Amino acid sequence: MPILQCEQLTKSYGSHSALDHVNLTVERGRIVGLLGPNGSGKTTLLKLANGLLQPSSGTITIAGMTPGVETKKVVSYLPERTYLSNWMNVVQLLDLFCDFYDDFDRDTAERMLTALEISPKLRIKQMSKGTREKVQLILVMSRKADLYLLDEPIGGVDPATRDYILHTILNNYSQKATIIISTHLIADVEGVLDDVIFINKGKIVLQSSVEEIRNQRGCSVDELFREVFRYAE
Amino acid sequence: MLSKLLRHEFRATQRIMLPLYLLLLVTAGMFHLSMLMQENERIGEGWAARIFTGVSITLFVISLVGVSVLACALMIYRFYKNLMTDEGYLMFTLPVTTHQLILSKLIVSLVWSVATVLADALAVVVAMCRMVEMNDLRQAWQEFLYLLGDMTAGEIVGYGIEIALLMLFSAVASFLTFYAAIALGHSFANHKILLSVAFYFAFTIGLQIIRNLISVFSIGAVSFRWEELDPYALIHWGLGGAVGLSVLQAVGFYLLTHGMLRRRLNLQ
Repeated sequence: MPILQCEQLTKSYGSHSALDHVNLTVERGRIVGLLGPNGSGKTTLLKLANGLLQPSSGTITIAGMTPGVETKKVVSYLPERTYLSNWMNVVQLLDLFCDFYDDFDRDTAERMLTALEISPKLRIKQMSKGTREKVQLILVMSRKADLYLLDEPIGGVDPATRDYILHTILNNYSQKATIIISTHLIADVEGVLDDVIFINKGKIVLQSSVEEIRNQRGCSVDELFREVFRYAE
Repeated sequence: MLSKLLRHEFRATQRIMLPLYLLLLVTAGMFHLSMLMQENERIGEGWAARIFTGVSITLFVISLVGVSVLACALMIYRFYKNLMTDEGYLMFTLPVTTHQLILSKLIVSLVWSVATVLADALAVVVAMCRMVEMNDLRQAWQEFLYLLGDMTAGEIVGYGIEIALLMLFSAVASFLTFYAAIALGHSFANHKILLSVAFYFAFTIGLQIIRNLISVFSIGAVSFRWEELDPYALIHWGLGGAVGLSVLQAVGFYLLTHGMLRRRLNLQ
């Protein structure tokens, strides 16, 4: 059973369609790049997968289930926004994740925090924006989830942090799990991807493995992205 | 999972509520001290004691009212901040139901409301205990019993339960009116806070009109045989009706809040 499946998935806001009859299947054990320009529908798709939005029509399922309590147990979501409460410190956040997620590995989280020299007593409001993003990523990647949905995990951070984030993602997921990384910074993630999904104006433009793109089209994902979206313009 | 949400919610609110109660008791203590100073002729007539008395009375009254207002404001702010802003991305992706999220906010708000009433009462006792003589209390109790007239113990308990239920469901309905207005206002793409305020005023005005209409029609229905009716039975009917209306209001706004959060959630 695929980990993520969309059938004729549509999300409209008034007359504007953020997603337009999307059909998509993502298998287990893959690292997938959800690639598209700003406003293409990437965040909407991830929000629908998390139950943060409801489809206007069509269906979306996670491991065969409609998004709900059971899917939230197996999905680890990194939104593009910082959702951590300012008054909390790192220990309180770890307690929160331990409380609610059975698959949260506290030791892994503490090890990563120590490696980054982030004090457990530090409050969120005392942290820089970059540190907050790192803490959030550590919390998300310390779960042993079936599906990781990472929305722009490397957007707006410096290159060193970008490397750290990609390193963290690659080193903290099980081979059976699937990671979907939404981004428009293709060159930075290309090396870690198994598959890519190109999305533009709410429609899936292309779904392929990276190997196929390189072998059959003789170009990199970044080059193909520029070519596809040049046509789209 | 509800118990875990409650624990998290209490942790988030107690860091503000407990210092507020401490402040209330400190100002009550100051008030009490100023009364002691006034009893002493040598100290009480000095300008320093008069200034202290003036300041402590002012602070006590402000904190008495302020703690109640801040407690209510904090409960509404928690719902908004924790569910409708960026924090909502975490709360709505926890493996909990929307019912559990709403109930956790509501239960914690009710508990702190009761605690605030008790803290206010305790503060008044601390502040006033020197001023009130036991004879005054005894006299007040006698007057209260006189007011109750020839009611039986069962009737007194019945009224007590009805009044307690009315207070409980009024508080529940009030919080849920705020929640529904916020949830509805935030389902729109723009001007979310402004729309929430507008919906709140629209709800309260609409409810007031409905209450007035019900009162007018109820009084009209019984006015022609006013003298035949037992006044105690009328009070029971009035209290029961008010409880019923509060329950209806609470259920309606609960369903609206749930529907908005479940179907029309629109986090930015």
